[in-house]
Amino acid sequence: MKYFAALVAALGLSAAVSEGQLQPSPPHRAIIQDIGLPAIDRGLRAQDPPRAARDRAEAERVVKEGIDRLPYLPGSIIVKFKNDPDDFDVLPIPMTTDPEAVAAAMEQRPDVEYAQARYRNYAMAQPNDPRYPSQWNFPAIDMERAWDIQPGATSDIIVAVLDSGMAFRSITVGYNSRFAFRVTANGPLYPALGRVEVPFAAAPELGASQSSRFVAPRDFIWDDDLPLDLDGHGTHVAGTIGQLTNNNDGTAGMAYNVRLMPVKIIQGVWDEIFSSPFDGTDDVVARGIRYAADNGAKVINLSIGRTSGGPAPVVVDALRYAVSRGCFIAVASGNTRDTGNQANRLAQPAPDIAGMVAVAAVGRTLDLAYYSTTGSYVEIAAPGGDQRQGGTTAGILQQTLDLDLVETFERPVSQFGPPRADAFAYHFFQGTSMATPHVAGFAALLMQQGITNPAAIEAAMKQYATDKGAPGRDDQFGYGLINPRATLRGLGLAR
Amino acid sequence: MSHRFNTYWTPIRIGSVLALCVLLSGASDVFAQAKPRPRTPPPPPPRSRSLEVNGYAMLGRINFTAADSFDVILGEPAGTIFGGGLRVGLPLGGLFVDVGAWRFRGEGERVFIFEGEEFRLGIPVEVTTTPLELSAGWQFRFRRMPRLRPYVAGGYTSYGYKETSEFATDAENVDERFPGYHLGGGLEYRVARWIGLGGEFTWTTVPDAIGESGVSAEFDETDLGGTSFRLKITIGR
Repeated sequence: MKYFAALVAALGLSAAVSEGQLQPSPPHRAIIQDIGLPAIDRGLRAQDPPRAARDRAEAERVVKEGIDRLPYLPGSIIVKFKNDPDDFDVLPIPMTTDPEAVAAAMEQRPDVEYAQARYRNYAMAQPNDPRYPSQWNFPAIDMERAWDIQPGATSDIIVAVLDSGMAFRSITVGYNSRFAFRVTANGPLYPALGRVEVPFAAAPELGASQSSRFVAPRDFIWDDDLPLDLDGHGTHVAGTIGQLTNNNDGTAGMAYNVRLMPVKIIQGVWDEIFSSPFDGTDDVVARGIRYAADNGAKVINLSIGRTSGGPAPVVVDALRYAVSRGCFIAVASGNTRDTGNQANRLAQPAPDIAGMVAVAAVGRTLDLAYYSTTGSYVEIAAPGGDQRQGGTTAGILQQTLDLDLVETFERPVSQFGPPRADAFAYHFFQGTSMATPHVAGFAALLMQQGITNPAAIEAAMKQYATDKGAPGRDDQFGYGLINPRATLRGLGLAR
Repeated sequence: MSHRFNTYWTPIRIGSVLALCVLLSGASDVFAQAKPRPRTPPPPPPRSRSLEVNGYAMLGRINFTAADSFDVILGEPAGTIFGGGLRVGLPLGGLFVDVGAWRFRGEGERVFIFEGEEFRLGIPVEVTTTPLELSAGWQFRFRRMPRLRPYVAGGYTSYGYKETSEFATDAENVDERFPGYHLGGGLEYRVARWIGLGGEFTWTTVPDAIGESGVSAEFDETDLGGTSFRLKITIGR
């Protein structure tokens, strides 16, 4: 057996060398069953008991407060008289009189069918997704009124999610777990599982498997066109960008009509366990960025990065290339504020590239998240969740893989087994990784609205951002919290 | 008789009268009337002993001072105006006072400006201006050309500006009046005793009415006024 393994390893090495490490054949996984398996929805999977969801009435009140002080038009009421079956009347009343009180009094009259104040109405694109009330992050940036202006973009806009993959396809894949491993240095030793079959399904809230929702999938970790998510991070990020919305199911997304390009450029733990041929190195990231730009992406989301090592010129070159091809890029600023505040090397070039922004995270109270890395390269802020500002439910809620069934390496060794990637749940995540897709989705909305130049998108985001922290740009929030509605409205002549 | 006619109506004199007729009455009258008629005596010089009341309607075109702002939002820096008013000639020579109002309305869309490039956002915006002009002026009258009445005027403008756009709250729309001033001059031609036709140029300034936000801030344009040419029809004496 040892000889056989050595032979296989030698053949694998030989093949890799002959291919120059650029296009090795994926030796440790194979498609077992390429059919549409039904996804399993396992519901909300919060570690803490869910808190009371923010009710819609409260959300509406918060959104409108400060814009129109009165919910009705003063100075008149609506009255329907019984002797006029065809129409109602608008009757003037003194401006200082309470229209609701007058209407109530009018209704007591025998000749009045009904009377009411002239309540103001607004287009309210509040999604009907049942878990939307738990998505505090969207009302926090006035998305409901932003969606009135630009309802979720269209399929003309392609957003590339360069991440750990995406639950975009229903398929069963065979992997080979050949090595025992530990997740932490002093953690338990998990055994090799040998050949395993892993079922995948398209996340129901992202779109149907093999549908036109997903375009040009590409996996630079396994070097094929199956960027399947074995981690959950990429699927969660994709959800914030483009979760199906107003479908009476689950949660909402920022730009819910765009098409998604799954591009896998980082490993999850299972990719390492299964010995993927490539790691998420700078060159892989650069290739992913160039691939997205060359295949029609208009927005690139990079909820990834690194804090160790030096600059990444290969990535900077790729970023400049993508922007030159008309791509807007959002990149996470990093999650190290509470652990040394090391900069995300991939985000640091952002100030020098017009059309790329580095994104900080705020929590539910719109204060800077405790983990959000600060620095001169931070340009904009968006909701990323902060569970120190409200507990578990103060994270960002989206559908992703059911982590209980994926992260089996978190279990005792006796319960360790292969993952399932066909079961889904709603998880609260936090991080600048979660803030970044808000900006990517926002960019997609702006592109749909007519701002097609990446540099102009960046300028618009900064110009209309709600200033936070020190006046003007600062290292915590950059130019401030994104303000999609104001940005989408742009400029009139005098206002 | 014929001798006297021939002596007085020399070809030169006949030519002069015909030329005058061409100038004052139009060519068709001249050539339709072979036999010269005695000229109508000119009307008396301007009377200043009573009020002269004229109502007028006008149609014209304005070129806005904030040309870039109007051009970007509405697609052109100018537009058609229409309005009307009342002019009262005072019994003090050619002095008159005038109250007039006009309206401009344009439709466009909101934009975003980046490094001189405009991105049209597809959000409809409607701009309406309704200036109210209070003027005083002097009208000149000439014995030899009594039908022609040039005038100059100037005064105060209360300039109504309204800007509404889709998806805006009341607070985000604009509906205000701003103080301004205007100067102008024109020429009226009396085609009949009670009817006049004319044209005038007016320059209006409404300083600091715009420019705090919107594209007017981007272009650093603060004046809502402009230069207008107006055709007028006047009814009255």
